[in-house]
Parts: sequence; structure tokens; C-alpha cells
Amino acid sequence: MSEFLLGRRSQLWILGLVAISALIAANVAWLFPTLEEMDTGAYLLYRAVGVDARNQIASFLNSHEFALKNAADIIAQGTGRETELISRLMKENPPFESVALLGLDGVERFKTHRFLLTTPADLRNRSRDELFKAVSRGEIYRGPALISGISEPLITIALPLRRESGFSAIVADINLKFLLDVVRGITTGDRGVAYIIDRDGYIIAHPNSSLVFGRVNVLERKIITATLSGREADTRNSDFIYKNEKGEDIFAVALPFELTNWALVVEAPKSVALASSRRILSAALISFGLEIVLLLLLIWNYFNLIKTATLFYSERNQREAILNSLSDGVVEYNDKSEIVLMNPKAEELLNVKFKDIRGLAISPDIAKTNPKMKGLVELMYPALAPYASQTREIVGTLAKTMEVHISSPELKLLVTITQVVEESGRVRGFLKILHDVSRERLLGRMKSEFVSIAAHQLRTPLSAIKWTLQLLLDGDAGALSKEQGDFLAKGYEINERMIKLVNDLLSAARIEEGRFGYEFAEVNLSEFLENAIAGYADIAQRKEITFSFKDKAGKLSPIYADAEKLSLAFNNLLDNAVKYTAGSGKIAVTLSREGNFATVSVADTGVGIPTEENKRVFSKFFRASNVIRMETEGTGLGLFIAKNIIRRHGGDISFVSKVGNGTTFTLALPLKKELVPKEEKPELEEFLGSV
Amino acid sequence: MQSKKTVFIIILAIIAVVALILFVSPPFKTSQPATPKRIGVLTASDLQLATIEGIRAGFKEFGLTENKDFVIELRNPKGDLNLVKTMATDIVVSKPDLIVSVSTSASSAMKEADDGAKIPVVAVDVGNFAQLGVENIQHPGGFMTGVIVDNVVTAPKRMEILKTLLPKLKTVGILANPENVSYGNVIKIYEEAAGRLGLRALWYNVTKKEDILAAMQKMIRDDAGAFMTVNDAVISGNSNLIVPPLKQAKIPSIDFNVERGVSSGYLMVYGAARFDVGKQGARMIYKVMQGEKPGDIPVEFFSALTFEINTALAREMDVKIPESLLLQASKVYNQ
Repeated sequence: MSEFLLGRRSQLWILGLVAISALIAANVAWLFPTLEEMDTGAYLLYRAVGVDARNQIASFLNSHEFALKNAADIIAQGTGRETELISRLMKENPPFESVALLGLDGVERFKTHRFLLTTPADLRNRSRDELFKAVSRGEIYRGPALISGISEPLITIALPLRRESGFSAIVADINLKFLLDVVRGITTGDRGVAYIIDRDGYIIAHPNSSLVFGRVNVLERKIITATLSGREADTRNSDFIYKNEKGEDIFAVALPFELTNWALVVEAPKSVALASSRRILSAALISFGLEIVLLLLLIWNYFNLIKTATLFYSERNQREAILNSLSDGVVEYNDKSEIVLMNPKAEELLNVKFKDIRGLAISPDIAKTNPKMKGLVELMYPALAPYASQTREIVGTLAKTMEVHISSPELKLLVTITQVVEESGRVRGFLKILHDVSRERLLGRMKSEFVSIAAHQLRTPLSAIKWTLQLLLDGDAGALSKEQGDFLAKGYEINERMIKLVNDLLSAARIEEGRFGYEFAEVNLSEFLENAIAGYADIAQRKEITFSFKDKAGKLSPIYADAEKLSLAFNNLLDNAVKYTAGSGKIAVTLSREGNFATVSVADTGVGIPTEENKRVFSKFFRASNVIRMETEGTGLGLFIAKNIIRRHGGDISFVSKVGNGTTFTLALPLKKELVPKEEKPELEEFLGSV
Repeated sequence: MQSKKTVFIIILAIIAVVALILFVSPPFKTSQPATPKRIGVLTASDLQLATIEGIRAGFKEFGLTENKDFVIELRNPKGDLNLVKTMATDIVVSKPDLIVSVSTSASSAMKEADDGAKIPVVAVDVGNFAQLGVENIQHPGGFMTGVIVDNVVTAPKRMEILKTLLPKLKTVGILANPENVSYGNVIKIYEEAAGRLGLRALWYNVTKKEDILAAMQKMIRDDAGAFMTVNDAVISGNSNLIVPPLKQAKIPSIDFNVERGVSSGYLMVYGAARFDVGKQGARMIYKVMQGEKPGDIPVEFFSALTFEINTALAREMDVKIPESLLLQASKVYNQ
């Protein structure tokens, strides 16, 4: 089996590896494309947000440029009300920190600041500035983001004016802190932010104003340098991955803002931006893990199944081998009388093949259509058999035994019947074990017949010897000397014992054959006992044994019995009591009634029977070890014969005994005729004993 | 049976682990309600109460609810500078989660009282952080940050407005409190502005309200062409003593207290609305509540100034308001 399992194990390993590979491939096939799609989806979303933010920034700048342009147009008309115009411009454009008008030479001619004092002394010469050069070319100047004296980011925008106005340009310093409102209004879900970087890498607008006023520079991020160079970038490109100030991995999309050479970044922690991806990944990993576990469980279960199946087949083969090698037949059937098991010996005994009757419900009628199954039918339904004894329980088990004689084939079977009970206690079916006792029965009958013949043949010469010796002892052949008389008396006594032995053997044989020959009639049990006891008066006197008889039954109706046989039984009991009770002992006979039975007890104060020999007391030729030493004579058949006689009368015999204290035998005889068996049959127990 | 039991236990264990993972990770994770943050607030006078309201409004925009997310424990010395110090100590002793000091004097007292405990402080409506020992406003370090409202820095602009109103203006009368921490700086800035505008500043010192009337009378006798206020509790809190003489003498005036300036009787107001300052401060306070260190939060400036003119008073005083000023005003009171 170990080789078998080893082979299976390698197969299982291969199977497992293949299954795991398939699982991995199946999961990878959908997972990574899905994750990529989700990353792309996040990118597109963030890019869309960035584009919207960029448009808002452009709108912010454009709106203020437009205001400047309108102002420039008015100034160009030469109304001379520049002061009022500038005042209105400042009021209507809160982001304007200051507004100035440049002269044609690049020198500031007029300037006002929102909260700082500006005097003519504060007017600057900007003729050398890039600003003036740009407006001189007729271009709009948009300067770099600078920091004011109060750490606020500013951008200078200058629009050229027509020369006819007397001015070269209108210049406004726009406070970019107003962009904070723009970026704060941009949301990309939880913890997503948008912010603006100037061309030097400084954050100039961020929902967290600390990063603006703190002058945080992020130029070291490659994504920023890439975007400031004019191209879009995002962190799907591993080169652009970065962490925020909290050390979190960031998902970001950066867009260039060409108008001012800024960069706009929309970012969120990866765990937030790609939360859906992460959930999918988590679910996929968990699912994958569960699939692996399931696979391992299946493999393990499969392995256990293999082991169990191997064990099952091994045990089945073993069981079949045992059943096939039994010398007794085994038939198992269920509660529907369907045969579920039959070993070869049973097939042989019953002359049927299991394969022909497997699952077939054996009913009493089936033999009519299939005569071959008659034997099986008679086995299953013993009442239909030519002979079926009563069932006897086997002490200590659930099994029972009975003898069944089947007709086809003609067999005498000792059948042990038991239930097949599962572990749960459920009765699965029934089992019949068939032991062919035909030959044993034949042998037993032959033995009995031989004994009967031999005993019968011996009786004649023994009777002749008895007659001859009696003749001599009576003096019919002449006077005898004392010594001669003693010898002859001894010979007579020995011959008497031989005759008794032969008679007992004959009785035993006839009992076994069931030919003991009973003649039943009504018997007055009390009178019967008195007469029996009276026959022992002489010997009782000689041995100084006290005999007593007590009739406690009162008025008993006559019992149905064979007086001669009953006398034989009772006399065997009295013989033993007298034989094994020492002088001055007591023998008490008591007659009483228990229900439908009359009980007769014979209690002596004799040597008793050793406890370890109790089971064999009623066996043929048994003599207790403690009496053999003290009394060598005895056939050992008396109690066997007595028991059989009592059983034939429908009664029973039992005893209690203790070595040194005596023995009490108790007979129970039925008071009703219908309790007496109608036929003489050989008893099962004796067969068990004989076998 | 043994193997069946083992399989069953394994399956149960797997289900338990999966359930634990799913319920620990978002979105199933729910946040536990936090204990309200205790904010100890110290003002200098009733003028700063508008700042507190601005802070509350700012918190509301962040979704915070008073008494659930935060509790304000306000201490208002009502202009008593001595009481400011005592109250500052009281606040530190009460060990709030953070401290908000409104005004320079309150912030100065708070810095001194909190120097040992170093409870985070957000100073709102402070004139000059350098006076509080904060040199680098971009990286304050320490335990204090805040919002600067430098009425001293904007004083030259107010002086410019007076000059725009009255191009022929020569002198400007100014009340000042020599006991104010910013006194020296005030003198310097105002004098410089006056010089640039070709004006002469007339200084009148007051340390308590009882000094005000006499100072005003002297100013009128000195024929001051206009009047300016300075950021001092004694002066800001006693406009009722300052305005009547100005009206009577028809001296144009400009204040920086947006909440009270025009309503107090001044002709013009140019300054920071304390409510808006409070809202800007709320953003910084919120950061500190989220766990940021004040030293890592740059100091911010409040630069969204408001200009208001009482044209009705101007008519009474026979003062013509130039168009340029009217165009700049965010609010004009005609009645």
C-alpha cells in the first residue's frame, strides 16, 4: 500500500502543481489587465480634473488680463482719467496688488498699491526689464512668480498700450494667493489635491497654504521637471514616482501650463487614488488564497479518499479471503430478505450461486418457480424446512442457534443466527452461519446404534450369569462353603453392576436416538415419591442416614408422566444422594409447587460437587473428581439419563452444591399436560456437547 | 470523522480571517467620534470678538461643530492689559489642546505664559511676529504661528488716503500709547510715511482713557489737519472720547477698525475685517487641531483690506471726497 500511495503522491503533486499553475494563470489573465484598466481610468479621471483646473487658472489669468486690456483701451482713448480708472481697476480686481502705467521710456508714470504707500519716489525705471522689451514688441508680458514682502506669490502681467495714449504699458502685480480658492475648489475625492508649480519649482498655489507661504520647492521631482519642460507626465511611468511629505506613495498627473510656463499637478495618495484597484487586488489575492486553500483541501481530500479506498479494498479483500476460506457457510440478508452476501461454502451447501440471487428478495414462494432455491428458502424460513429445532440463545451474545434440516440438498445444518449491527446501532441485516452437522449426526446415530446393539447383546449373557450365580448362592447346586459363598456373592454383585452399566448405556443410547419409549399417564406425584423413598429405607438404615419427605405442595393434581422413566430419574438422584452421603448424614426430599410446576428437591449432606465441574454434571460418563477417589464404582450416566427424562417430561433439573456441605437437586415438573412435549427428539444441547 | 472535523475547523478559520480583513480595511472601517478639542482663547478687548466669530465661521466651513468637535474657552480682559497677563496664565494652567491669542498684546502675554508648557499657540491678528520672537515667518519653529494683520505697515497707506482726500494737508494728529509694545515701531513707520508724503505727524501720548480728552483738546488747539488712529486697546476702545471732538472740529479722520470705524464716527476706515482675519486664522488653527506643529506652519499675512467712507459725515464736515477714493471704497455710507 505504501508503494501505491507513493505513486499516488507523486501524481497528486503533479496534479497540484498543474492546478496551481492554472489558477495563477487564470487569475493573472484577468487581474493585471483589470488593474491596468483601473489605473488608466484613474489617470483619465485625474487628467480630466487637471485639464479643468488648468482651464480655471487660464480663466483666472485671462479675466484679469481682459480687465487690463479694457483699461488699456480706455487709457488709449486719452480721457486723462487714469487715476480714477486705476482705482476702479483695483477695486474690481481684488487680486491686483498694484497697478502701474509705464511711460514710453519705460519709467513708471503712475502707480498705486493696494495697501502700501506709493509716492513719486517709489516709481521705478523699468526700461531695462524684460517686461518693457516685451511690451515694446507689442507682446503681453507674463512674468515669473515672485514673492512679495509678505511672502505672497505675485505675477506681473503687462499689456502694451498704444503710443498715442502716452503710455507704453499697463502693468499689474497679481496676487496669486487668489489661486488658492481655485485649487481648493478642485476635488478628486478623499485627500486628492491640485496645486500649481511655478517655472522654478516653487508651489505657488496649494490647498495647504503652508506649502505656498513656506516656499516649498519640488523641482527635485522628475515629474515636475518633465512637465515644466512642456510635456504631460504621470506616475504610471515608474520614473516619475514620488512620495509626499508624509512619505506616502503618490498617484499624480501633471500638466504643463504653457501660458506662464507653470505646471499643474493633480495628485492623491496611491492608496486613495487607486483604492478601487487595491480593493480589486485585495479581493483577488484573498480569492486566490482561498482558491489555493480549496485546491489543497481537495487534494488532501482526494489523498484521503485514495487512502480510504485503498483501506476499503484491502479490508474487503481480506474479508473475502476470510469468508472464502471458512469451512462454514455464511449468508447475509437484509430486512427485505435480499441476500447481500454469500460465501463459497454457503453456495456449496445450498447449491445456489450468489451472483444468481444477489439482491433477490427470497420469499417463501420463490422455490415454486425455482426448485433449486428450495434449500435456501427452507434456511430463510425454517418453518418450511423438514425439521427446525427451537432457537437457543448463546449466552453473552446476541446470537441464537438452531438446527435446521433442509430437503434440497438433504442436509442437517446447525445454524447460528445473529444481527449485523452498524456502529450507530442500526441493524443493517442478518447473518446466518451454516455448519453442516449431517455427518456428525450420522456418526452420532451410528455410535448410538452400536452402543444400543452392543448393550442389548450383552444383556443376555449377563442375565444368564446372574441366573447362574443366583442359583449357586441359593444352594440349588449344593451347599457352599463360606469362602465359596463370599466369592459367588462378590461375583453376583459385580455382575449386577455390569447389568446396570449395560442398562444405563442402553438407556443413554436410546435417549440419544429418541427411542427411549415413553408411556405417559397420570401420576400422583406425592405417592410416587413416597414409594420411591420407601425403597431406600434399608440402605438408609444401614448407613444411618436420615431420610425425610415433606409434602408442601398440598393437594396437587396428578401430573402427566411416565412413572417408570420418572422413577429411573428419581432413583438416580437418590442413589447419588445415598452413595455420596456419609453415615449419620441426612437426605431430605421436599415436594412443593411453583406456579404451573411441581418442584421436588433432594437435598443431601454429602460430599458436594466441586464448583469448577458444575458444567459437566449432566454430561455422559461424568463423575466428579472428589467422588472418584472415594467411590470407584459408577457409570457416570445417571444424571445424564435423569436430566433427559425430566426434560422429556417438559421439566428441568438444576442443582446447588458446595464441597463438604452437600448437594440439592431440584426437579421441576409441569402440572399441565400441555406443557409436556409431544415428541421425543434428540436435544440440541447434547449435540453441542457431543460435537 | 477526525478529518471532517479538521476540514470544518479550517474552513471556519478561513472565513473568520476573510471577515476580519474585510471589516478592518476600508470602506467598512468607521471612525470613532473624537473628544472635542479644547481651545483656550485670549483676546485683548471686545474688538477681537469679531475675530472669534470669524474663527467659528471658518470652522463651520471645515465641517466642525462647536461643542462636538471643539470647545472655545474664551477669556476677555476688556482692554485691561494687566488682566491680559493673568488670563494668559489661567489659560496655560487649564491645559487646553491649543491656544488662540487674538491681538498683539494678548499674543505677547500668551507667549510669555506658555513658554514653559509650550502648548501650541495660533496668534491671530498680530501686528508683528518679530516682537513675539518669531524671526523666520516661513518656518516659525517653536510653538507659535499665526496670522499677521499689520495695521502699522498699512498706516502709511491710510496716511496716503488722507493726503489724497486733502491734497493740501500738512499735519496729522495721532494718539499713541507709549506702553504699547509696538510704540517704537509705530513712531518710526508713521514718521517715515509722513516724511514721504510731506506731512508732519503730531503725537499725543495716552496711557489710559482718562488721558484721551485732554490729548484731543490739545490736538485741536494744535490745528491738526487730519487724525489717524493707531493699534492700541486704549485708543481703539475709546472712540467715544475721540470722535466727538473730531466732529466738532471738523477734522477728517481715518481708522483701521473695520467693525467700528465708520460706525464709531470716523470719516474713513481702511483696515482688515477682523471676521475675515478670523476665518483665515481658522484654517491655521484647523491644521494644528489635525496635529501639525505650529512651528512647521508658515505665518500668513492678511492683505484683503477693506476701505469704507462715510460720505454723509463728509458732507457735514464740508469735505469733498475725490472720485478716486470713492472708486476704491468697498463701502460708502451715505446716511
